[in-house]
Amino acid sequence: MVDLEQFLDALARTSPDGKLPLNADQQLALEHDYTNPLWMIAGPGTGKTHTLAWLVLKRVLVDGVPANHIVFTTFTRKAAAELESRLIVNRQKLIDAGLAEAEEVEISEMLVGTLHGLCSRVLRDQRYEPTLHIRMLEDELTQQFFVRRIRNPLLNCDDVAFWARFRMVRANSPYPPNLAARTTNACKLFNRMTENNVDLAAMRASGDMHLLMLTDAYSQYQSKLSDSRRTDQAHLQLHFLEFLGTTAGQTWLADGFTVLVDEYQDTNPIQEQLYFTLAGSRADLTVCGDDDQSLYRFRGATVESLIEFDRACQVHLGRTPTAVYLSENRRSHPAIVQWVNDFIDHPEMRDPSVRVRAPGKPKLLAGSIINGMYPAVAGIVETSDQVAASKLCVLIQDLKDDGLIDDYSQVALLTFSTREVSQAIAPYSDALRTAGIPVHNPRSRMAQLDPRFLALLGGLSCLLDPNLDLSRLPSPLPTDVPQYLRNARSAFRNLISTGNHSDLERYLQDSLDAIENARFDPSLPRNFLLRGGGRHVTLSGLLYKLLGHEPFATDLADAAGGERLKALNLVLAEYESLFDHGELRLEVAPTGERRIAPWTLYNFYAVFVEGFHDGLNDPEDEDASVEPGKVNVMTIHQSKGLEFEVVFVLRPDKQPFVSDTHALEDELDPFSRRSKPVNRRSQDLRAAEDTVRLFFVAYSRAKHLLVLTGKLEPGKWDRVLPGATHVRNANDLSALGVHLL
Amino acid sequence: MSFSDDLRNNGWSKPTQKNETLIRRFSTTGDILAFKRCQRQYGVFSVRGFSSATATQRYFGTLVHDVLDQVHRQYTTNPTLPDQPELAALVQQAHDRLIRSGIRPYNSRAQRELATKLIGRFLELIGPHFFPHVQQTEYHLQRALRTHTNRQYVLDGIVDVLSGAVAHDLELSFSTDEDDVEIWDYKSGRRPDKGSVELRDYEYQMQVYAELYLQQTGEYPARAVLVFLGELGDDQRYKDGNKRRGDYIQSLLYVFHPQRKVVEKAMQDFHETVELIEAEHTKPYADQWLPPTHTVEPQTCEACELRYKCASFPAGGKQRSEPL
Repeated sequence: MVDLEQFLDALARTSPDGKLPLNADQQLALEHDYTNPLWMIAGPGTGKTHTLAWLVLKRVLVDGVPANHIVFTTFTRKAAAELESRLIVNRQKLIDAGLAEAEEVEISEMLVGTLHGLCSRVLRDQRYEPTLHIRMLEDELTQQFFVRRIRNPLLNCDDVAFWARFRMVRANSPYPPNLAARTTNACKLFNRMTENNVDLAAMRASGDMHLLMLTDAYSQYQSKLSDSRRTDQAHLQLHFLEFLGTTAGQTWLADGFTVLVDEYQDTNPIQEQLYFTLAGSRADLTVCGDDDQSLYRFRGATVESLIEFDRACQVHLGRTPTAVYLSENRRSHPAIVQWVNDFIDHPEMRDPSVRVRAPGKPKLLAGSIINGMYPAVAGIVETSDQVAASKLCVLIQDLKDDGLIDDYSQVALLTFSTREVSQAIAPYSDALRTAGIPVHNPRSRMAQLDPRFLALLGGLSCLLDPNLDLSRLPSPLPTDVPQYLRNARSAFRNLISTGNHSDLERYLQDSLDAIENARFDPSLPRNFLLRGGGRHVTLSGLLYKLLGHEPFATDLADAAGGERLKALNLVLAEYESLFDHGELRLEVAPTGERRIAPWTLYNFYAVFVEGFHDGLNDPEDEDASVEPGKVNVMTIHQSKGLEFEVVFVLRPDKQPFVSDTHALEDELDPFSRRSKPVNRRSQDLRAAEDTVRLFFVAYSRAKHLLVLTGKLEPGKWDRVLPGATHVRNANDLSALGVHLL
Repeated sequence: MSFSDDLRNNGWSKPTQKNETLIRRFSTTGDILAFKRCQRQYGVFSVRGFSSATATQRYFGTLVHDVLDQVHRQYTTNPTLPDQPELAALVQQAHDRLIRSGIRPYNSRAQRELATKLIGRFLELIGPHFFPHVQQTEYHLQRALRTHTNRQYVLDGIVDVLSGAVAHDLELSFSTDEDDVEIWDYKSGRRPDKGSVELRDYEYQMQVYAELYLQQTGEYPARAVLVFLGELGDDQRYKDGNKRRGDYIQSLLYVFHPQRKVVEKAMQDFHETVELIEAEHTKPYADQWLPPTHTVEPQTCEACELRYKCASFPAGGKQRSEPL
């Protein structure tokens, strides 16, 4: 161990100028003595991760916390990897600065990661029986496959009033949601229930018929998860919480860990409970975040976790936390800092009866080295998106050609929805591509329309079902699926018809012949398609066979093609794991030949294909947040934690809307096991807050230049402008300090 | 004057590139040996994240590991070894978990029976000398290290068993001490031939663990022991009622003593492989993770879904043209 002075001396020696690499607020956080929890409220660009990374090393070296007693979590795997890397680099800096004791600090012994990763690791290491060899439902689509597989009772719920109660259908709707929407909604309901760690007995005791129906459906879901050794992300946390309550968990926990949590503003109630439990009687809990950047209410997060942290500390630990505010923004041009300060002082964010923002929070102070006299907040404000898009392209090209940026990836286009349709951002993405400016838009939900993707899916469909005979399916397919399938099969047939892929054509024909003549034993209850040697043929096996043929084999080596084909491969793997392991059941046709059984085909079409036919994102690189060499188009949610030299905020006409998210908060709150805020605002006001926070994040990503871009209609931009100013035309915007282009 | 000119003339400062270092984690089996076996297979499945069905092939090894781990945990609370019915029940429980988690073994009944037989014989022959010395199972070793070019990375490893002086208790034919610490690793198959790639890889894995253990504790483990449970399967002597432990040790256990020079050589190779993997990451997509120029073991290719079109496996062309 070293004393604080030695640590600070060494820390100063890590900087080329010999000065502490921390400002006064950051140093205050570092020097916190941990008799109380630390409540670090850090605005955008104020160096919270930088501070936390030094803080962890100080906790080990100065305060004597063993490395294996440190739990340090953040929001994404990417951020966690960066955090661990930063800790390793900082430790080395201290060693190089002559602090030999730092050599004894073993970063890899710390529990650094996402909370999910931490839960998995501890439960695995502790061999917690309910989670041994448990398999994660990795994403929303897989969870939906699971709910379909288990035939959850909510899928049969035709009661419009039930769905309307949670704002999952309009109250006056004549119809309940269709099967796909019920599946999505069921997942949403179950996730929120787990994230709120609801008291099921209390919900049942309420006698409310809708809640009874919901708890029954939820219990079936939980029971099927357990039977099939599956978990969703929220249930993994619930398992961990339950483990901590066992004797083994109590032994592992002992008197608690030193817990540091980044991005605390996006914590949900069960996570809050976990963090306080992990801190245990040591009560050594540091939370860090920015309430103004809370974006994940729709995933069950509650900004109240951060805003009301002092009250939660009283409830859980009987202590008052020390609040430290990081307010020096070293990221953005002063005019951008001014803009975001003005913006967050929004009428929707003020309420004398409720804490809408963290108490005592100061304004951001501009501290960046970027401080030229140019207009850093600009606007491309036009009468149509097409004209605005054209101007945007010219500006990006000028910035690149004139050397103001080195790489297109220094520019980001941020918006609410990155779907490339006319109601969203198609005018912009189309214009950029036409101008020859490379674009990266992994969340366009367009992967399913890629010709390579379609052809591969079409090939698979042609193998299983040569004539697409929908009449023999046990039930009609969802509305748009048949046409999507026809498109896919056409894409495949078009490849064949070029005459350039005779191997592929021969493989298809030979395989169809093999299915027709497949072994079939009528005495068996079920017959599956087998290869020579008796191994089952699987969907994935067929997919890889197709990928071995041209043109797919060449597509696989191309960055865009490879990732699109991977998207299909990954969804198929998740589907297979739930539906017969991808094995293909056979039946005998009236004419005597073998063919794939109707239910196998039905599930393939109505569950698997239905799951992505109307939108599928590309897989995203685990290592890189930003694709080099391209203008990155992102949702505002996706841009969280990132920064760009130039940010275009597209179509700032987003209006607040009350959704199922807000309804669910209110419906589940009475049954949630959490420390509750004194008051809660109306759903309308919470929706308005969400919009303000969303645009606060978007604006605060910009370093050099922020450009509001879109078609201006009177009144449409008001909600996302400082002071909610009523803007009728470009001049009104100019009056707010926006430089018009 | 364009807006761009306006910016430049009014103090636009050239953006500086942020140089964040990403430090990756590497494990011996999951990364280094997988890459050395076939860089294409490693890159496509482990790095790019394509889904592979090879998990089903791990059924038997996982089953054996899980049961032995369970036996150890029970032993720590009640130091007796399970009898045959108890063992069969443990195997069944472990099997159920694997099946429910989606692992789909081929002919699982035969594999369960084999697992019960192998573990039962191991417990009978070695168990009483082994389990009292077990200190930890699934022992995590991890360290932040540097390659020869000063690149930082984190080395991850899990040793099946960290034990006291089992070899001493077994009265093996080399010098042992009752304070020895040993690292043991279970292999569910038969002992590979001397000089084979498989055995070389197993040794390599243990050399790396020895280095990790040194980094963590300041000294090498006294010895590394590989247990080839598959050797107990159809041994005629056992069937004939021969339960003399000494007769089986030779084939069942592969023991070696970590030597500084050998370990250092393994670590040098490890570092070089980390550099090769990192170099692949920097290449353009189309040039990344190409089929290796060295010969790939046929069983590696036969288990690989990419074999239908791969320069390392010419027979894949014929397989590709076969139906289904």
